[in-house]
Amino acid sequence: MFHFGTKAGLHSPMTQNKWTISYDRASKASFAKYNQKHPRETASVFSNLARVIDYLQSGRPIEPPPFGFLRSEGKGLYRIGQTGVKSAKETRLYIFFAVIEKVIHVLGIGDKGSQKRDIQNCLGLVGYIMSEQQRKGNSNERD
Amino acid sequence: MSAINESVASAAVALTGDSAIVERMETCRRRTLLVSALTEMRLQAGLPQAQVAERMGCTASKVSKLEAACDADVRWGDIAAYSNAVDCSMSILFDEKELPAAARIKQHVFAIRDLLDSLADIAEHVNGDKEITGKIHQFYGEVLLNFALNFDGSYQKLVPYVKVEPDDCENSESHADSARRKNLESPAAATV
Repeated sequence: MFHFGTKAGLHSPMTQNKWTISYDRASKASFAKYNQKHPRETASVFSNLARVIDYLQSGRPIEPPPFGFLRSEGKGLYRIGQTGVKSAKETRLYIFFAVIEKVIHVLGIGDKGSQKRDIQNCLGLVGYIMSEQQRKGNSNERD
Repeated sequence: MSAINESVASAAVALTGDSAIVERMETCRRRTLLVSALTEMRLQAGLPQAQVAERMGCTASKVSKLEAACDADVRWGDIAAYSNAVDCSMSILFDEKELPAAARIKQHVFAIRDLLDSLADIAEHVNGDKEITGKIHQFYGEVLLNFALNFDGSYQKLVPYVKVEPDDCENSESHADSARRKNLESPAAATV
């Protein structure tokens, strides 16, 4: 199932035309550590994120996922894999699309081994972002 | 194809604390220009990987692998089959490294002329069908307008470096006037 952001976004003054990136929820320490261990893979997943955002800027939908490296993990969480890296460590960059607000939230990075734990952590962050949006929406409706 | 999206590059640097990541991202982008272009062709055609695979006579997994590969690892046969599956024709341009820009421009101008001729041929084949010839006629006008606008954009970059003598100025003005007259007389200009 794909989450099209919260209803609150419809009334939000934050609604904009261009997609933007937010990484407030991500752990910088884990990104720095992963990048140190796997610099090529980290660069590749961010390069693929750039392709996703370029695709979205042209107004096309994210569902069904247009790229092979973009997979849904359920509940609105997606992962971006590395491409074009020889003998690569399977890497996943976890993101959440807040479609109405047009914000891509970068949530985490990890490999196949830490996948289960990473997904659980990121789903927690998705829940937090959605409830925050809901709260903002409710206060906008009251105003 | 454009360079790496700035906001993504900033996010990558901020999260990893490594400014060198931008160069590595750019390397990734350069290594996959061809496969990115192929994928974009598929998306423009509105085809899922599975359908492209069916048309290519291979598995969806192979298409997925092709789109995830480096340009250097993709086989010509696969590129040709993929292009065909997404309803695109493929042409190869061998460009001499030493060839000056002026000669390259000439090649492209001739290529554009050939394509415009092929449009005129279509008009001939449809026996002057009003709707089709009307659209071709309109398109000729659009091509002329786009060319003029883009030419002007490039020309303005050149202007600061050109020292114009009064005589040259008179000559160039007369050339421009005659070109303008010719354009106004042409049917394409009428739609612009």
